Amino acid sequence: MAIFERVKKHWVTVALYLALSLFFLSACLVSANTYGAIAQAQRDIGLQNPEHHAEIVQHGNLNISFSIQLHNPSRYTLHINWLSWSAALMNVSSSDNKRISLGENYFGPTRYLEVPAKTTVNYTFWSKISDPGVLAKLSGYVNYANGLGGNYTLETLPYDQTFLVMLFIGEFEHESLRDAYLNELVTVSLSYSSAEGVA
Amino acid sequence: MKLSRDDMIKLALTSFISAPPIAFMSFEFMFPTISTPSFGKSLLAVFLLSILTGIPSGYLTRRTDLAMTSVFLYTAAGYLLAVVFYSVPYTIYDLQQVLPDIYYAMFFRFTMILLFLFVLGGFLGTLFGQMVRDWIKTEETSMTFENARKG
Repeated sequence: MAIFERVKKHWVTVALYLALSLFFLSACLVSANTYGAIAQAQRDIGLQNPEHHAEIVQHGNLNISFSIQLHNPSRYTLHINWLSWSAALMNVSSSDNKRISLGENYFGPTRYLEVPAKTTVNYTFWSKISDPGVLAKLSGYVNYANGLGGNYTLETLPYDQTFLVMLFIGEFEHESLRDAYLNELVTVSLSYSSAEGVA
Repeated sequence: MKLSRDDMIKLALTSFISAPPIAFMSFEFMFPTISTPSFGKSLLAVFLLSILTGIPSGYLTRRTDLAMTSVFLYTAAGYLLAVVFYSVPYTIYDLQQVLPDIYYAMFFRFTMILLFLFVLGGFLGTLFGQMVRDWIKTEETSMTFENARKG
């Protein structure tokens, strides 16, 4: 066929042409593979095994603790932008001060927290409540709830514990203000609430 | 425009071989942060690479109308290939779509300028390719005559 004769005649050009094509085909495959891995990471990274406890410790103080695991099965290291934990009791009997704050913790980007690839990291938080004013509010709530037919103690009150984390996948750029969707692509936001579970 | 069987094969081969650079540029334009290599959404880089992509079809195709038709064909094929690459994770591997809006963006929002650059660059590339072929041919002819005169 005439076309094969022309290919033979211009074999250098055809070889360079094929090399160009193969280079970009490889680049497409690598990039699509990266995109697939990111989509997988978005699906698989998650919070698991949340545990929360409240117990009376020495001198009648209340210790509230919370632990949760951040599971990273992906091939990328996760960089935590921020994470926060808070514990509170929603006092529905009060008209003005409904939220009794019992403890909180926050880690920002300057802490450079990381979750290495294919690992699970455990986070534990606790708060010891020794303030007599707060303990009095909690006891008041126990009395109020039990008066309505409940069966609560300081250790079994429905404390609301919330854990939020926002992290970035790998070393990909994520500070482009012009194209916000590129940040979204490599950002994972996870949350856990003792009332609503993992989201 | 009359097309022989060889012309059809040539158009098909050109579309097939030139499609990957177009596909990569389309994909990279959407995801510059995760693409390897990355042009950082540089339209100049896209334009220059479009010219480079158009050169072979101009060099290998004698007819200008065929060469320009091949630009349309390989741009369309490359763009479709980019959509396929974008769809791979959640069609083959059944993963969730990370950015559902990108389909809309790929077809309507960001890519008009991009497609224009592919086609314009491709046209310039084919013209340049044909010029290069003509230069080489002129040089070969003059050398043949010169050798014959010396011999």
